[in-house]
Amino acid sequence: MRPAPRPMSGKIPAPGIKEVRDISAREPRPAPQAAIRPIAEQFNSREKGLQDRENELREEMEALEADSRELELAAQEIEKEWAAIDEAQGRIKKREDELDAMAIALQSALQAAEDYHKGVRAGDAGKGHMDRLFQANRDLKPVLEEERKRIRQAIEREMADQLSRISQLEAELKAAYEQQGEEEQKAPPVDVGKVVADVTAQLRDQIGSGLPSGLDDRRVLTHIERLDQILSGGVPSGSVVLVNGPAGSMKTSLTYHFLHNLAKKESVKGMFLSLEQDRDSLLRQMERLGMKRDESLDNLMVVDLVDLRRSMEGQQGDWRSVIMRYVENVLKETPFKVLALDSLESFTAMSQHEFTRIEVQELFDWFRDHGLTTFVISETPMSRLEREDRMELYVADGALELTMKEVGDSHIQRWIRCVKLRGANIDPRYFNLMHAGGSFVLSLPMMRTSAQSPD
Amino acid sequence: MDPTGRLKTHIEGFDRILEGGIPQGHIVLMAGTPGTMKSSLIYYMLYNQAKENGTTCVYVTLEQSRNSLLRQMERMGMRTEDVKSNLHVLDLGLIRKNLKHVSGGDSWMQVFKGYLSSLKNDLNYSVIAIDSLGVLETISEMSNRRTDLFYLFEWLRDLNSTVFMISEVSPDRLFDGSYDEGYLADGIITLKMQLVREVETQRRIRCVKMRETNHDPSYYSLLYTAGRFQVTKAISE
Repeated sequence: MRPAPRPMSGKIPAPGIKEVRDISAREPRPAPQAAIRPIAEQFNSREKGLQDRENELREEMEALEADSRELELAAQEIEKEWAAIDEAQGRIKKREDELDAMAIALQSALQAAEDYHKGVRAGDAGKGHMDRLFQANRDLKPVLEEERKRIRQAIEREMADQLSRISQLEAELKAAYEQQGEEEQKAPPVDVGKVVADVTAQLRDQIGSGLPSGLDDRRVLTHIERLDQILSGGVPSGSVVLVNGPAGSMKTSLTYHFLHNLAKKESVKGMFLSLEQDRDSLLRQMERLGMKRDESLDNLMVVDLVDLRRSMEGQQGDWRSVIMRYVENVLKETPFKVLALDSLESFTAMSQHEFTRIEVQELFDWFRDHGLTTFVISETPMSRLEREDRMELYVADGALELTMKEVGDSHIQRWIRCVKLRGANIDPRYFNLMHAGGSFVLSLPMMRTSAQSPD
Repeated sequence: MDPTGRLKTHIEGFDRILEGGIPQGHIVLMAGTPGTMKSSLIYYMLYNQAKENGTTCVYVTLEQSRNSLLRQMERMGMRTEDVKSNLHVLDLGLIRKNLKHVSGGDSWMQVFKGYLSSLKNDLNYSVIAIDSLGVLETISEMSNRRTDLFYLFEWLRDLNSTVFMISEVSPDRLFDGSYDEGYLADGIITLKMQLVREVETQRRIRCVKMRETNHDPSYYSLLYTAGRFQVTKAISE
């Protein structure tokens, strides 16, 4: 900020000082000659006054000049100071920026330092833990070694199962893949005309032809003399036969008896699939009925849920398909001819979704397609199957009904009846079923007496 | 073809009950619980028609395999060799195998009808037996049983053949209101097992309904002896 020009009241401004001096210098020159003494004296005093005045003015002028110079200097100084201030401001700004940058750098450094600090603290604690752990580890080493040994043995034991499971999963995957392929191929809508033509072609050799010769009528014997007679020579091979009856009617024992004797007397391979009872309990029960396990061991497989669970561990899908896959796998390794399923109710209960009529049919078809003669144990009373026209009775090839019959006041007899058997001419009467001498015996019931002793 | 317009059953004593036989072109329901010899009895009628009258007959089996059925009939003394040019036993269970992986019973029913229509053109069969309605219903996944059955029976009528439809619904239930086949069929013959004196079971046959016939609706005992079916008046009860 420059200083405002000083106001010049009555005084000559600084730049005009010379002019003023010039004027005063010229003034004494026209001095009067004639007036002589008084005038001269008067003039002299006047001149002296003027000279004093001039001196006074000069002094004043000099003072003003000095003032002016001082002011000029001051102005210059101020200007200089302003510049200095500007410069200082610039420096300060720069410095500020520098400080900001430094602050930022410092902050991250601080953070890092803090982290580091924390880390150091944790490290200390960890070290303490480590020491304790090392100690614990040393203590546990023998226990661990022992455990490891035990686990290794268990793993080795299960390895065989696991291996078969893996190969099975592979087969399954392959099957699923193939099926997918098939499904993709068959995705387009059904060409009814084409299917009719296919069916016509496939049925052509059934028209005008009787029973193809060379087909032997193979029968699966029950090895209960009277029962084989009732069935006109046994169960036609490949049939699906229901064995129905209430609890305690010896469905399981009778069915096991069929399989046991086929294995023992004819070396017919079979599988008893028990979804109800565990194997040990079942076998004990059968031993008590005179069917020794070592007589059938080579030919009769007895599979319970525990076996199924172990070999099917980790398998996807519902139990029904798991069981079917299991049977299929065993069939590949050890082809067997006779299957017993105990029981249909347990089996259907394992299905995730409701077991529809068509699924019963598909299940039974599946047994037939695998060439199995199958005994399906069912607890649903025959009377209910008949009354409610249930699918299993339609689609089964045969049905044996077991009942508990009150005879007289106190006796209960077990009765057996062949309800149906396709491909056989059955005796549909009721017979008394008894277990005696390690075997089952059938006789015509005697109603009048209660001499018959049920076992 | 019988000039009387009636199809003889060849069951001894039964034709008399039916005024000489079943009117040709009728749809007859043969109902009975499993094991009452429905299949055998129907096959017996067709067998004798084919053998004695030279009638072209078709027996459609949906569930029991063809060989199993024929073996059973052979064992009962009906030699398939004698009738093989007239009586054709066809295993239509294989329709399902041809339609494997394809959902929808509609296509099954279409193929079933398509095949039997084309077979009618080829063989001109006059008698056809379908074994059984229950299985047919299941396979074709009837969703609206009432209408689906109605159209099925209409279609069967158009075949211009005498139709035997085997049903495993027990006769007692057939008339409780939910089974329309009882009203749709022209005739109903029922079979049941009767417990006699608590020990013996006898088969009983009864003609419940036969349009255009003044039939005897009482129960008769059905006997199978020496390769012949015969009915006699039921003695007990």
